[in-house]
Amino acid sequence: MLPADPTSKESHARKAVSARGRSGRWLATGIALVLAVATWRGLHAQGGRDATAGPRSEVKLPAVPRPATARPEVGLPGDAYLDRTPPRQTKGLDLVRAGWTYNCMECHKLFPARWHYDRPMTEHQDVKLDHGNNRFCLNCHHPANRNAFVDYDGSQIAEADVVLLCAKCHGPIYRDWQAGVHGRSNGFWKAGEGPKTKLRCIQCHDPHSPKFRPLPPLAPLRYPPRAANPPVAGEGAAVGQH
Amino acid sequence: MRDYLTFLLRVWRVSFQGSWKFYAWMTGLSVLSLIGLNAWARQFVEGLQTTGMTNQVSWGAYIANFTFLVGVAAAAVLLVIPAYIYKKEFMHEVVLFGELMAIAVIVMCLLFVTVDLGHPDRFHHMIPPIGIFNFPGSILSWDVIVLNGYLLLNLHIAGYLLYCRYHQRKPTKTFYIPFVFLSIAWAVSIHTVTAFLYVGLAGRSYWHHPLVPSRFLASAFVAGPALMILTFQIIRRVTRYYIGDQPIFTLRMIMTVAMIINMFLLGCELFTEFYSPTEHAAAAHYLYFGLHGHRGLVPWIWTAIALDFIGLTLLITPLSRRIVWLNLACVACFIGIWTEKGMGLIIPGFVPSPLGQVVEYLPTLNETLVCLGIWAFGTLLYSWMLHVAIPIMNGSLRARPQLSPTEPETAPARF
Amino acid sequence: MSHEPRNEVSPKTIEQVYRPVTRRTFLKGAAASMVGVAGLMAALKPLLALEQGEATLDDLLQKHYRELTPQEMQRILQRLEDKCQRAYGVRPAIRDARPLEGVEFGYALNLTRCIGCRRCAHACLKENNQSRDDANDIEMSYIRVLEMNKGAINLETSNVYYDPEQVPQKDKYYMPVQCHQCRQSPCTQVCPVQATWQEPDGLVVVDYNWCIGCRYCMAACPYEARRFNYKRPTIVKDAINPNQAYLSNRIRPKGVVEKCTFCLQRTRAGKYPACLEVCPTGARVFGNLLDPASEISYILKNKRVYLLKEEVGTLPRFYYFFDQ
Repeated sequence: MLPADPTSKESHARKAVSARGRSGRWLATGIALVLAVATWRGLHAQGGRDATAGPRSEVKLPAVPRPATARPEVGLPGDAYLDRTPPRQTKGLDLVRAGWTYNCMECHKLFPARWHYDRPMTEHQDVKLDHGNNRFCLNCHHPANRNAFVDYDGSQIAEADVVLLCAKCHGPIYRDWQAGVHGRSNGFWKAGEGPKTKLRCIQCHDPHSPKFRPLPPLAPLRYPPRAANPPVAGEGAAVGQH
Repeated sequence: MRDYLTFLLRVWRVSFQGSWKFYAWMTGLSVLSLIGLNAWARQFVEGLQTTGMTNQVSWGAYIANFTFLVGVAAAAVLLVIPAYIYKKEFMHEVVLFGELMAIAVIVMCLLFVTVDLGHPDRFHHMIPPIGIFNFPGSILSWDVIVLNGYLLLNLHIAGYLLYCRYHQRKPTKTFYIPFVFLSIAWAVSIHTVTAFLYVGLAGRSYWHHPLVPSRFLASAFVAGPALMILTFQIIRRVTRYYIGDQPIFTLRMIMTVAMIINMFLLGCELFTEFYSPTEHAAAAHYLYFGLHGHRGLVPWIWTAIALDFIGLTLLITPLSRRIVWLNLACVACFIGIWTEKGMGLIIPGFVPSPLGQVVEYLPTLNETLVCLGIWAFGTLLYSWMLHVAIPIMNGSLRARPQLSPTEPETAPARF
Repeated sequence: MSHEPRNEVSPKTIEQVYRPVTRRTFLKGAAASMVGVAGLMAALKPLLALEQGEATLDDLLQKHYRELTPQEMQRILQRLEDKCQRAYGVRPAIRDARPLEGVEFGYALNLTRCIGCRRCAHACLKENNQSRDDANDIEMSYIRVLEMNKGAINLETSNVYYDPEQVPQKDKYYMPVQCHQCRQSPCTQVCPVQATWQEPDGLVVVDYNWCIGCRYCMAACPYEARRFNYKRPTIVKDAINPNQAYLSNRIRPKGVVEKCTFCLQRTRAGKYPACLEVCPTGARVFGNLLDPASEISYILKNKRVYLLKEEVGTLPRFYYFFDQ
């Protein structure tokens, strides 16, 4: 259905409107025309314009040329008040902050990999594996180097490249992520103006249970205090539902 | 010129001649107008938070009254058409009162729009070349033109005829007949354009309906004559100007037909909305039965419909050949249509909101006072115009007066 | 036919009109006028409460945004900064952010991902300096998040007041709605004074110093995207975002309409809009429609896109899409 690029989509849509919406509007305007024939020219000037010439309301405003920046830039918005923390705060990351080197092999050199354990008996009790068919630690963790992950061929994926691990199964999402449309991007949409940052998979998803965690919603809209007949307290949530 | 100034001076002085009843009436109306002005001044300072309007219901009582009154103003055409097109002699004795009413009512309309503005101090933005007038794109700009045009047309026609009458000379046809005919078309246009204000908005399904303009006209042609019938009786009772029964019963006939059409169109509307209950029927549902537990307008609309039916019943039966019952019918129709067109048309356009939110609206006290003030001011204006016009029409105020108490001219005013 | 007037015309009362004004009448008239003027003054007394500088001659004479010369713009920005400092105790930096060449903004929202947490609606307030009674009052936020019943896209059964412990709820999905920056925008069409218009980059903006507050645009908008300042905006000093633009987030006067501009003070400087920056699920995608490599172009090319109220014919630049 969708044409290959947005500009052609738009021109398609515009043609569709000139066929339908515009003719409807013309009918309305036509009726009004009877009322004031004198304004015919004005109408013609408006309606006769090419639909691609720009927004309708720019009819007769004389645009005074003004340099792009009439004032010096004062710097970009310092927007620290926008909360951009990644959704997932793991215990592990907290440990890293506390100085933990995150070297898994400190323990795991003592414990060889054992495939049949899908439920650790001593450590990692809190890990509940709920990730599709992945029942075993070593589905993702590398059997020999627990600081890395395992690739198709048994080779290692560095911890920093965890995205590649996820991409093993989640190809389309990986593609979307690469394109910048899966997961949040921050910073600059326009290349060259500043950096654009992307979150990695595990900054939002817990790999052991990747379903996005529910969040408490922020304060809801209120029934306007000045409006008539405010709902009784507690009924607010029921309003608007059948 | 000098002559004209004398005319104005005399008009000015005659405005203050009257019985104590006249003074009491005018003082009362002035006080009410000032109360309204006071309420508006408060609104100007504090912003429109003094009203019951919200982001969801962004138009309220002001625009509702405005819409209704445009119809009343347009109804002046119902006196002009029989008088000038069908050459009914007896209509000529009242046609001027219709035109004066149109003037007063249009002034009220303009006031209602002005008080609705968040920034009335920027009104000049609409006046080219200081401002930018979005014509013909915005229907509101069309409305500004047609309303002011209608005001000017009626001011010209009524003013010219009165001035001729004052000079006891026959009006020159070319000076006013073309304008009379223009005003006929114009009267229809003011109400149609006002309807297009709403009908043109595709996002509001309750309004986006081709029946709306026709229903606007039909209901206007009920409410307008109803008001005229009532005022004509007041005129013939309290002033020195005689109005026969004939114009009143002509208006009754027009009113009856218009009311039948209005109710028929209402039926069509209700059928369309409720037979196939689409998402677009939500507003009608809210209006007639309430939505999601909100039923603020339900009592209003059923009262209006009951009044409409009482009016219709009285009108189509011989009962209303008696003036008392006719008056009752007029009062019922006037209030019924005011409610139905005001609260019943404007508010449900916003409920539920385009995103489905049900937020109700009722005018606040301050808002009501502003409305009351404008109604009082309109009545004041009309009373004053009648007070000045009637002595001119019956010949007691004229350019060359016979100061000795002789037999005054008794011929009825006839234009 | 002729009528005999029921009331004999007695010219006695009228006769006085032709005679010169007597001293007595004059005094009576003067006294009545005094009473009238006093009444008028009393009625207008609330106007005394108008704040100093609220309606200055400069404001009154200011031209439309698109007719301002650079010098005039400079002066106006200065004046607005002064005004904000006086009224709110913060001196903002107000810029006249102009559209970028070769850019047309588009926005897409992933309905599969949105969980309805309202982070966007609240960030909007923080970024755009809307009026609010307290930090949780999001009435003026440009974003309304609708809770929808799964199985339908029916706005009429949606709920904006939902407030469960956690979102998303099991049988619900969520649809944030904000200005769609329509190509055929009904709001700009109906404005009687062209106080709102489409910029070359597609953003529909409002000149708050030109708007007369008739609210016709609000009636015209099918997306409920416009808000009206029913009062002088209330906003505490610490909550003010000092980085402002003339056409977007500068603090509005009372009595004018405002709306989402895709945070043009940010986006015209190359940054993402605030609502996107805070979205925890990354449901929001923003970019340049004219750039085939942009994120928004990727969406239009690869995803199944849904236009809200397409039947109204507004041709929005805001798209909804689904994943999976």
